Amino acid sequence: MASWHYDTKYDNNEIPPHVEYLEKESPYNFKVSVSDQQNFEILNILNTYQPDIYLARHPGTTVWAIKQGIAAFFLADEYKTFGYRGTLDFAQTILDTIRNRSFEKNLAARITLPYTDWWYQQNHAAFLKEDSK
Amino acid sequence: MPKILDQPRYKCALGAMQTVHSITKALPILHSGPGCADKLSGSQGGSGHFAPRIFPCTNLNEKDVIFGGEEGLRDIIANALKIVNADLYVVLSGCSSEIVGDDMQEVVRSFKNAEKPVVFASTAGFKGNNFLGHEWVIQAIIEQYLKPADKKTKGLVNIWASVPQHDPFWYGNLFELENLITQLGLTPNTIFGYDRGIKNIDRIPEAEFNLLVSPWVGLSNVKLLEEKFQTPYLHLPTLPIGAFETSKFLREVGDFAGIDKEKVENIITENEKKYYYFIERFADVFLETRIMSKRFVVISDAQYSLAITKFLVNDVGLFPSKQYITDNAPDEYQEAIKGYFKELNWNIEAEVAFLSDGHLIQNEIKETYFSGYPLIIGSSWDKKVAEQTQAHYLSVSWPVNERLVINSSYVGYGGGLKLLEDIYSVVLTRFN
Repeated sequence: MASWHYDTKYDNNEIPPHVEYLEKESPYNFKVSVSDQQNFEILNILNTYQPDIYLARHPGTTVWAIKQGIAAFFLADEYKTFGYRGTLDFAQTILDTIRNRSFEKNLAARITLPYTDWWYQQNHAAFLKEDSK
Repeated sequence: MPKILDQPRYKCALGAMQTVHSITKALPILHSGPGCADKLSGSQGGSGHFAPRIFPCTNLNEKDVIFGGEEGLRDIIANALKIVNADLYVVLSGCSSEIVGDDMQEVVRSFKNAEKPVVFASTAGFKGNNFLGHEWVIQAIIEQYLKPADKKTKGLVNIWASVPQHDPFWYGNLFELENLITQLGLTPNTIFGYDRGIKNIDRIPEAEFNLLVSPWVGLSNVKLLEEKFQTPYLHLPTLPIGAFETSKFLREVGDFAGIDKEKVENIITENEKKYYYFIERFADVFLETRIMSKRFVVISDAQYSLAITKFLVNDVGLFPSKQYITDNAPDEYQEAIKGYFKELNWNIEAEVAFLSDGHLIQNEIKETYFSGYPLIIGSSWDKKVAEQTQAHYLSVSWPVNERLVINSSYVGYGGGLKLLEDIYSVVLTRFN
């Protein structure tokens, strides 16, 4: 699972190329949730899908996957994953992240989460309202 | 061709004069050539009470080498007893006095009726390094000074850990071990540091057990104490840093001492709650320092290489690169030590090399690819390779030239947080 900064459209009105690519190549094979960095929604989604790894590009969310015991990695700068060396570094870091689960398992076992059990039983989009206009 | 050791990370056995200095009012008397003490007094913080490099010394010269220096030693001891007000006098030999075969044991024995105790440890540099010299000083005290106790005191525990003064954190670490033992309801007994000294040495034989927290240094001492005073010992190879290892430490000591399991678990729970309060608050910092690779290297003695590797893997979630042990750990201990590096959580194992030569170690590091800026924890010798590899660098073991360590500690729950502070204070300087 990845959490990314999302632009609906660029300034030139084009759709970001990776979104366009996914739309064309695998329209039914990826799920997207767009939220205004609503932490409770991200945690609900993580809890529902229990991904093997969570990759975050946006500061401040990595720790929340960690608090739910999910292996997570803060990518910060996606350009670091480009090129031959960048791709291999990225792969190595993913491997190191999923092989050593100490940090998230230790922390998750000893803290309480700030959201209610009730919330985790709801659909993550339960509070989304259709635009009334 | 003689082998040249580049960048020494230990001293010769005579460096054990630092062990003597860490016992309040114990005085080294050197039967060595002039200059030994000066060369060996490189660390910060001696005894404070005595001059760190000016000791009674026979200043062996050519004449003594030809005709023997025993009479000179006898004079020096006799005069030291008159001039210097100490509680314990420890005669240490250097290379030259050992090579010419002076019978120092005999000279020292002739002072057995002196007002103050005088003991002798053979610490010639060609016999070993200061890690072994430390053991030999303790051995001398056990063999030549200690008397059997008329009673054993329940709950009294002698704690033995690292080599005082050579390990910059020896004081804080030892006192934090005392603190942990006290939490369990036991009474710690240590001989080094503030308000310890001879009165605590006298209590060694009455302890219920000896606790050795060290991969190998001191093992021969606790075995000797068992043989001489029938005191059992508990050997824990890993210096506990951070929550995982400290909780394990408390369980193991509690188990050995027969302390109620529920009591031990309550102590652990309380400590871990507090520890994770801080981890939770600062987790962002550890997770989002984008410039830090998950890979780390420790270049240190067996104690820190093992303890820091365990902490960074089992608590912090980092991944070990090859680790280096630079204390010249004797062959008979190396297999066991390698084994400890295979007992990391999540079936992680760390490769480990017993290598003292800085040049060889640093060449290997330069050849290693870390997938990002690595973390190198070692001594001041490693500053240069850290610069060359753009690493984050922290010095923790001798020689430490750019930090002042007074009484801080890496042991225990608080010690783990302190090590995180030190590491991330370095990491944060990269762009700040």
